[in-house]
Amino acid sequence: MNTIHISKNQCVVVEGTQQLHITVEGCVDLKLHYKNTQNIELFIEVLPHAVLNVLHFYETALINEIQQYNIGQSSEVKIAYAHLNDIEGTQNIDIKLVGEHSKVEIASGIIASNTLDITMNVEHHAKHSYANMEHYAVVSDNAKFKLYAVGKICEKMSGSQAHQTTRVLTMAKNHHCEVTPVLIIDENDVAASHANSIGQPDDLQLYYLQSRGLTIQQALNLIANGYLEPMLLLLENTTLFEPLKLIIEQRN
Amino acid sequence: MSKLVIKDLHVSIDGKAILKGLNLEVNKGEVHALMGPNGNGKSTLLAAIMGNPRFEVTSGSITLDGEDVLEMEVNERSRAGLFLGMQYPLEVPGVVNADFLKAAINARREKAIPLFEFIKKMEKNVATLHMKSDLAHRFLNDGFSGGEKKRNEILQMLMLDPSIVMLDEIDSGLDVDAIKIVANAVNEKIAEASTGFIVVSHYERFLQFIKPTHTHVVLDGKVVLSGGIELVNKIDTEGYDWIVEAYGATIATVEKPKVTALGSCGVK
Repeated sequence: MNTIHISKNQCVVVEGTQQLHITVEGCVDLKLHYKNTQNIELFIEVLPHAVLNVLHFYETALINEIQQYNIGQSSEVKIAYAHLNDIEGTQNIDIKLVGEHSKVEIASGIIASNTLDITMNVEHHAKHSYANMEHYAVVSDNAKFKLYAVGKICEKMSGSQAHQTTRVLTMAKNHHCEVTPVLIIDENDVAASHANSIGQPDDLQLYYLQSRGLTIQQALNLIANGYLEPMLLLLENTTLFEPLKLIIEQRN
Repeated sequence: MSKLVIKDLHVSIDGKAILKGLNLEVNKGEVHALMGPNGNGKSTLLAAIMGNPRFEVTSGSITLDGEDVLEMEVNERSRAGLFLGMQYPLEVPGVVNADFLKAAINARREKAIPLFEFIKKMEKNVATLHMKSDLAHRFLNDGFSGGEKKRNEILQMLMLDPSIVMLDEIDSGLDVDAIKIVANAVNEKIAEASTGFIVVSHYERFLQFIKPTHTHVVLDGKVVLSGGIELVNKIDTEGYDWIVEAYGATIATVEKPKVTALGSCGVK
């Protein structure tokens, strides 16, 4: 297993079959650039009082990933998942809030045009911990997209918050899309919420955009790129923002 | 050239005839006001010209500079020079206003607009319309007030430089000051004399600001009377009844939804 200790902004290339252990301290912007991956096991330990902004950028065709975060006391973590390519595979992501007052915000921007199966568990093992996950996916023709998102607040972890939102835009009739939002709450003094929607582009919105000169494909691209916006906004005011914005703009 | 010609236009919605043989000709530099009671076909006309798929043109013709508009897709109509400022602009969350405008401008150019030129044009027009400076970065009409949405329609008009502008009750939902600001922006465009306008409004105040060169009264799907700005004043003071009497016209009535009982009450 490779072990890396990170205390300043860094880009780490993840490739092939790899086991990687990363510890983070201080204020860090981290880009994890996935290239030609097969089987990846990634463990990220965020030490107490750290501020971590991380972008998982998947420039790879295949992924089979097990990923775990342990987030320490009073740490603040923002995690963006950018699936902008024809990626195929499975991801099992476990995020554990192990320190009191730890906080994680997650946003994914997913263009699904293949078979992609994501399971994400966010577990609160400390009091006053906070988690918000927002998943935005655009599902193309012939794609199979599955998302199982769990927010779990364990017993006695009072004052914690678990929130999740999932929005899926389906661009064609021939697709399979399955989204399961789950909340498991074993404590009374908490706040939790979930929202979920799956739907096609609105005809009137498309008419409005077309009435300004955009072809239907250009209008669909604009709406689809809108689904990547929450992921981008999560990284605002970080060094990861501009490069990601440029990549999204170049998709047009 | 910019000449829009509508001949004997018949339009239906869900099988119900709304326009029943409407004729209109608009040239560049002209401002045509369409007046008439609700439900008589004014908005239907504008939507049919723009190509709203809900509206079915059953007969008649629309040409722009001799080209058959009815053969064009909605986006082609826009690129040909038609612009509709909508009564109820759509909200499109996720689509950033500036990105949308840039894409719309580039859709009618061979080469993409340079960023600096776009920003300069955008800032100038945002200032003209007294809009908030963060507008460029907000999602298209998302969370906008009614007045902001209408100003955003005018902003799009200024940015896209159309040859025929249709404004559908663009003044509704605007306060007095905002009406002046919007009317001033429209007047600047009128002064260029390169654009033809069709303006639907119920309010004399807005029409007095923009001073239409032609005024038409639409009743039951047809233009029954045309005149100049004096017609606006007369309708404002006397309503439409005198037109019905003098010209033997009829006013289409808007069907109210039927009230039906959901069931019997449990209280005897």
